Amino acid sequence: MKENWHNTAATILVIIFGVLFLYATTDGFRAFTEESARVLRLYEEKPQFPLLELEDSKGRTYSFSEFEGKYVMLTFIYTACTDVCPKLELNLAQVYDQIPSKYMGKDVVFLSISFDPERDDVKTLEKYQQSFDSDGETWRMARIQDEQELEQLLDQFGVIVIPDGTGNFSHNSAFYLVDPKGKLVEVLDYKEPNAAAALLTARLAER
Amino acid sequence: MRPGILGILLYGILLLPPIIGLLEGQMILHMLVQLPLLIFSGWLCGAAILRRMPNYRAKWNGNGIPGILVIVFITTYWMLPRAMDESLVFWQVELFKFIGLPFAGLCLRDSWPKIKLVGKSFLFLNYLSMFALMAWLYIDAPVQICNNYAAQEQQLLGWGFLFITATMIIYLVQMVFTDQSEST
Amino acid sequence: MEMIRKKRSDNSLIATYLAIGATVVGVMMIFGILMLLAQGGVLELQPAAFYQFLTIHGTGMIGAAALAGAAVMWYFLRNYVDLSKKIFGLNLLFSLIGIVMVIIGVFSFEYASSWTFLYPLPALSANAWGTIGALLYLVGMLVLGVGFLLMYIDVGRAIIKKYGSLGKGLGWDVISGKKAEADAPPATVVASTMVTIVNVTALTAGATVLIMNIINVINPSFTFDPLLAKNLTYAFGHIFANSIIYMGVIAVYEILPRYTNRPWKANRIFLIAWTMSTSFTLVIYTHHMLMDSVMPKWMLIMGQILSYANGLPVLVITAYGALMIVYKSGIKWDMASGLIFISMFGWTVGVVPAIVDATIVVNHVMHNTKWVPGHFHMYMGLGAVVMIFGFMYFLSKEDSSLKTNLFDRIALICYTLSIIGVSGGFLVSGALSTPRRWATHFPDWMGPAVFGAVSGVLAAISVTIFVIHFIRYMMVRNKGNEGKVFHERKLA
Repeated sequence: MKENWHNTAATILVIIFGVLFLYATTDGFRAFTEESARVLRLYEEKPQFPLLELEDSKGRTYSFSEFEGKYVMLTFIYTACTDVCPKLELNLAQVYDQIPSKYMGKDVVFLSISFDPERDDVKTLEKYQQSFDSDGETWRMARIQDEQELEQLLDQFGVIVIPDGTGNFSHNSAFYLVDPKGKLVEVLDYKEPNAAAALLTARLAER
Repeated sequence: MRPGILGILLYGILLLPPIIGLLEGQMILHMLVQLPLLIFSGWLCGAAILRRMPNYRAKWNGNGIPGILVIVFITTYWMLPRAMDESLVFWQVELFKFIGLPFAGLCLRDSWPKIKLVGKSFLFLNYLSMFALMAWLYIDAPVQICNNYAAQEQQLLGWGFLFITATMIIYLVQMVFTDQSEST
Repeated sequence: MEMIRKKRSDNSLIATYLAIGATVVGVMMIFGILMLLAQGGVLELQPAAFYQFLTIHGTGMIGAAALAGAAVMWYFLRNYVDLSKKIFGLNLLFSLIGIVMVIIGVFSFEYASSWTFLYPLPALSANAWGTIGALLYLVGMLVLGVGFLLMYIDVGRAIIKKYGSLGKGLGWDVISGKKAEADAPPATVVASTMVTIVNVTALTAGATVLIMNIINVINPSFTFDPLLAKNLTYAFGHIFANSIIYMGVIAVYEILPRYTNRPWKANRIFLIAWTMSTSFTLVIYTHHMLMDSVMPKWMLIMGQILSYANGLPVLVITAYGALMIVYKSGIKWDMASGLIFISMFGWTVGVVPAIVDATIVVNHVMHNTKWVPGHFHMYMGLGAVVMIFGFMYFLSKEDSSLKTNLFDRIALICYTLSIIGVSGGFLVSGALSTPRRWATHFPDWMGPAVFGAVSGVLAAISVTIFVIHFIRYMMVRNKGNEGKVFHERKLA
């Protein structure tokens, strides 16, 4: 029993440190994937949307400051995408439909940003916009032509895009809500459009 | 001394930037080749290192359980999808990978012979069910689990885990159904 | 002398197992009675509370019976192989921790997914319960599983050490003719080997599916294939519940020979029967999925055919063997031998409704009715659990000088009749197409439920008497007859 003393102490120490270690590396058992960790980090950082130049499906170009004073509900897509983007956009359309029309365009704008500016030119975006019944005004589709600016935005918002070599991309998806001052305030699960709509409506009503 | 040199050699090769790039470029190579090889390199070096510290080992790892727990915690951490992603992004996590896993191999060398058969079997069955779960998770998940790896890659990894699980089951079945009376 | 004294000290651990197991069975009966009363319209019970009771009743009954069954197995198996008492004690400790977690999860956090915790119910409860309740329950089950897994690993290790392999533990070398029947492993070893094989499989599958559910509860965006989840859940649940009777039957193999002074010989047919039941038990859980039309057809047909065959080999060989050993033996009937004999009757009768239910055509109509609880209340209540009660009386007689009294005998009769009443009530409900797992019943369905509840009260009283006798035994043996060593007496 006497000799076992060190051994028992070591066992207990390993358990305590092991649990603390796992606690620390999962942000308190909350984030087991990089995606959830990223969302947690975004909530802490609340990055500012950079004032970069957008070109939308109507061929207009403007800076992001166009949306100053309004909430912006954002998604990141590319139009050639066949799996997650259509689902993402369909769900965004569901959110759009649930927002009372009195806020639309005045207090909130929906915006889908393509990270594939080479292929998603004005015409392609217009076609895509029509297929989701968006008016191109209160729900806009746009691309960012400057590659550096695009990179910077994706990096700040933690969007990871991996080209698979055949013209498609693997990427993470969510609804991003930017507040009237241009700060990212919410990252929402795109598979829960009802919850996202409820949250957005509540924020709009607060104003 | 030979296995020790082999272990250092293996560790050195794993440290070469092109090898790191190659192994971490593919999800399945990252999880099922790089990580196990790092443990293996530690295990190879183990004998030589452990010989130099017999008292220390006997004192702090007498029954092998502290060492086994170290292995359990380190491998549990590396089974989190987040760990693989972060090792690509943060240098601290990458550093921990190259220190922690060989250390786990070292602990394995020291602890495995010390723990009892029941403990060994228990660990084996637990890793069996965990690997089966990893196979299921990666093959079946409708979402991309790691941000740095595409969905097809995670499926491939899942099949890799399934293969390991099946191998473990076959090993277990032949173990318990062939005669063990001479060896015990 | 040393050996016997050591055994006697081990008996206190075994008695603790049994006392906890039997007490929990009795308490769970109360929840069963409350549920039946609610269904019968006698008692006002919120549906949420009903499902909490359903969850604790199922979990508690299976857990308690498995614990007590393990004690029966361990008591006899230690005579043949070298088991670790430390691990046996560890299993009790883990089980108690697990039970406490489950109880807190169910009663303090309103977790109520029923004991089958079928994915994705733990995570998707429409806010009936939260994450903490689900986690307490799932982790509690996991902790319970850890204890049992350790114990079965130890049993398997001990059997392999003595007999060479699990195949030899099942007597395969005798079946193949390499070894003479006279050298066959004892019946207890054969049964323990079988239970080890099926339960290690079940617990490993269970760990996978439990942790899968935990992941899903913590991170609902990770979803899993529900069909595979159901397969694994029943591979775990069915096998684990089924194994209780195969541990309990060891009491039959050991107690009847002591009463009749005739040995229970493991002959070749006996060994073949056990090997068949081993493999069938592993694959027939698919009869829980006969209504899942997406399952591969061949698996369902296999489930049907093998369900017929599952228990039968061991049941027939054991029932026949039990009759033969008792026949003209001049056996002295007392509480232990009486209960053991009744358990054989209960097991045999309880299998009949199971076979009816395992038929695909019938299953489509019956599986969601109270027919199924009718089957397993008979099978477990009148079979497996009675073997355990029988063993408890055997132990108190062998290990102390405590006598049984008139109350015990009345309880025996009362218990038998009441369980027939409970199961009968369920079977009649099933025949009336009363759905199972419904918190409230239409008036036409209420009669049998009330009848079942009344029978249940009688059963609970009988179990109380069994438990009181057993606690008295534990008190007597603690009260300083430590010096007096009981010899391994023949009870004939």
